[in-house]
Amino acid sequence: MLSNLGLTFVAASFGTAVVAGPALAEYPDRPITMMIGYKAGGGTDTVGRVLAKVMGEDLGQQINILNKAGAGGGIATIKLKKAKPDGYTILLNPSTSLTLNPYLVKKLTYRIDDYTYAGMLTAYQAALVAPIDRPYNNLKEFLAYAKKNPGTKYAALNSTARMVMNVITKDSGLDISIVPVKGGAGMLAVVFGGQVDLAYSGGIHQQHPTKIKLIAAGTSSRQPLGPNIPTLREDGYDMSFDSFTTLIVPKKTPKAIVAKLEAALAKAAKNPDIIALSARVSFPMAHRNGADATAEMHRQWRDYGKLIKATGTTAK
Amino acid sequence: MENLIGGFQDILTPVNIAWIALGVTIGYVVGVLPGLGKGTAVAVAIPLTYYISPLAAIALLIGIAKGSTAGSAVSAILLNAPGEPSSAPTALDGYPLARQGKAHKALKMGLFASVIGDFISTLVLIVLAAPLAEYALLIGPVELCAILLFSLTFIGGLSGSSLSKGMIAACFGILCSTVGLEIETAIPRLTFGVLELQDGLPLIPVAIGMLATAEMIVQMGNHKSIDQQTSLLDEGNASREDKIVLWEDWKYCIPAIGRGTAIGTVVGILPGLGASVGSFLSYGATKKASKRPELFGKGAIEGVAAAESADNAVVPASLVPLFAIGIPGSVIAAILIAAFIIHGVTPGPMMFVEQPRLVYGIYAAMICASLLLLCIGYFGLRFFALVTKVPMRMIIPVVLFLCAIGAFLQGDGIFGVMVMLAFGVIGFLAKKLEFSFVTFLIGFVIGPSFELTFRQSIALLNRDITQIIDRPIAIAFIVLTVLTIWRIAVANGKKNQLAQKDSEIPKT
Amino acid sequence: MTRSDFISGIVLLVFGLVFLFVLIPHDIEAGPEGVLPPSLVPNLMVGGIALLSLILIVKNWKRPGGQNVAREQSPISISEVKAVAWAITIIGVSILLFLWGGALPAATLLVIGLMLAMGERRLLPLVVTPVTLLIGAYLLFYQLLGTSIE
Repeated sequence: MLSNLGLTFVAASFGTAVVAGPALAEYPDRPITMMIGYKAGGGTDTVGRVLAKVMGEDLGQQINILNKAGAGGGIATIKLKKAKPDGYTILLNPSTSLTLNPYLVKKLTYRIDDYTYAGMLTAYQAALVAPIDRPYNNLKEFLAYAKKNPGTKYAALNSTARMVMNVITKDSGLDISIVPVKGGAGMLAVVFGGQVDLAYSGGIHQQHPTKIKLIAAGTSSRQPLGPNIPTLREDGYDMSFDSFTTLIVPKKTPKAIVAKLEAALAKAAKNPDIIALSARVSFPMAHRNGADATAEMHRQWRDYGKLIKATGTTAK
Repeated sequence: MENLIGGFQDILTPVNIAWIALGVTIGYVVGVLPGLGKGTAVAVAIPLTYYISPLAAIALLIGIAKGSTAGSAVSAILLNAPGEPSSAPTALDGYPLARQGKAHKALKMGLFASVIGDFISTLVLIVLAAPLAEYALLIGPVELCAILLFSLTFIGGLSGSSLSKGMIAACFGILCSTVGLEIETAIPRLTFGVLELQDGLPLIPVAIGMLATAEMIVQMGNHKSIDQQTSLLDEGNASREDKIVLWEDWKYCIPAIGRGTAIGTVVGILPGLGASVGSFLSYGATKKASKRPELFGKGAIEGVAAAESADNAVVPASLVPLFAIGIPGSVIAAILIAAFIIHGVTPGPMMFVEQPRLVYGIYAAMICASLLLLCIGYFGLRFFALVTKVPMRMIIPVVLFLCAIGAFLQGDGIFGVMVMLAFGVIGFLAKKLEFSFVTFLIGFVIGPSFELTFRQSIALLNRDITQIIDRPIAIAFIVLTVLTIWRIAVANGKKNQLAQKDSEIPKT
Repeated sequence: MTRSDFISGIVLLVFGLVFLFVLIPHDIEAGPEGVLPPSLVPNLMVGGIALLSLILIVKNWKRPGGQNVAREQSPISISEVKAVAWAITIIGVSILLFLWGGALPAATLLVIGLMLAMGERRLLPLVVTPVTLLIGAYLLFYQLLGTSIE
């Protein structure tokens, strides 16, 4: 009996003493943590959870979700920078958390080249939305309404949302109150309750067509659920916010591990569960592999840089 | 109606019942262990649910939530070391009862109250989800901020002698909740350069430290007298009256349970409040309504009933916004959203149209879970009650070890254990110097909600306080807050006067 | 009306003032314009603490009758102070041991140290308890949760 105890001790000591070395051939040999920069229940989180399930099945190890909300996905991105580059900590975030937010928030000092990208999956459908019972149906009408009603309220769930409103109201003399909300769920709560007159949405509004209506499309092309609603560009503002869910890993992650993640992501993009999900939440599929994703990140960075300059926004 | 029957038939298969039972059992056992709570249990279970049917998966998760909420009463009553802040008021009267040899009675009442609160709240969910959710939307950020303020004041006032000390504890709690990166601007606050603090002070290690660890340290310092007490208990054979719940006890407890269920249900429906607020408000309400308030804190069984019924009523009620509208009102609800969507169900009103049978199956599962909770809890009682006979020198190391494990799991590793130790010492000081550690915890738990709704209110009121006239609910709660402060100040003033008179009597 | 409340009040007042005037301005940067300052709520809280502790001091300034002061004992007994000291030492050392030696020695020290501090001297429990707890923890972490302890 004593020797059994002894064996257990030895096994336990080995187990705890061994720090996982980069065992590339057997990656993954233990569960992976996928961070999500937004709260549970939101659009990004939903995509992330289904993706985790599908990729986990493919890779043969559980992928555990860790929500780390804040600063428009920035807090999770900061955390990823300090994670071990062994492939066991990955991040699913909108691309804009790296290509746009650093222009808006001084504290976000990370840059695109601080990370490696395993690919992109779905497209967000940024938009300006309103409670369904409001008396305006597009941005022009909303602005007219706001002129007549000082103190109109707008819900902003991140710094991009704030910027959009700042640009729209610049030089217009409109008095619009910006109400901070936490995540998509927070935005939905104040819109459903009629507490605000307009809100910025990353796409989650699409799941509630009977309670929310589209006022302006924030993407570069019109949106499937609102084909007669103009984009912000068409409304005369030189802004569009294309963003994609992106799988991000720490920069020094070994190439072989990134390749495995890339392959699993590509496979997931064809998975029926993912395709059904994409249809259900109305986030169109937009798969890119690692190289294309990296190129897209840089392109967005340049384009958003121009946008920021043009609107005269400064980092806060 | 065939859907309702169909749903029940779906659930009443041996396999599904087994899943529910498994969920309730895992939840209950995890809840019993001090230091481990809902968070750990649900986190473990989620991946398990990918591979089983949607109905079974959701039933399992809900079972875990219900079980752990009820189970945490056990460690509260037996060890004064609640596993979660929401069971802290249970300990206030449950532990004294256990020390008086009435552990069985307290455990039983805790279980009954939990099950009743849970069951009724489930019925409310099933019958009233839609209309209630619509009403809940009337509670916007301004109203919520006022409610939080009232809750803080009310709970702070419960803390015995001094409102000032209670409010200091609350302020401390909120202060600690601001540690970390500020949510909008990512500016670090009070992190003093410590990297791990950028995420804020992790809740579970703080709670474990303040509640369980601090209590263990206090008991460590008093173990000789505690062991003496325990041996005295053994010598007089526990009378039958001390082991069961008498009709007399029920007379006090039934109104408490009624109040608790109502309060718990309302608190559950409103987002941002949480089970701890519910159980404390309930405890306070029952204490104020009681004809024997002096007994509270010394073994008033209705205190246990009030706390546990509210605590458990919050869980099903927090699913109301999820089912009726599709917005999660609590962490468990948010995790369930993901589970729903993964299994192809979009939570919200469309659920009832697209998959009514599944929804009714879930309802049936929840009712089954309540009943199973009663059986499993009752069965486990006699084993758990034996813990009171174990000497302190065994209990303290084991409990502290479990605390360390819980803090480690939920606090990003060894950092969590450091936080646990720090707050264990702070909690010890708070307990001994009579600063309400529970008000601190409530402040800590609702601090982020309070700050967010405060900022939202400022924007919604267009920085103009007079606009609050449009919001009668908010005004009502602000008035209640002022009234509460007034009443407490008056009551404390009287108490202090009496105490002064007492001490002026020369002691011979 | 107690000495301990009086002292607590003074300590808390100092705490509040230090935070309000030194630590918070030093640690928390100003936010952007148009948004509420990040230091708002922290300042409100420490301000509240300072104010309330002032009230505490004033309330406990007058003590009922002079004699009782001398007889007032500290609410914390000697054995409790010893308990805190032991707890900090044992848990603290096992944290350090974890950082340098790994989970196994740290956990073992934690359990055995606490048992010894509680006065346990019999060999059997001193061996069986840690072993059972450690095996349980091992199963929990490695089998059930699939995580590793680093």
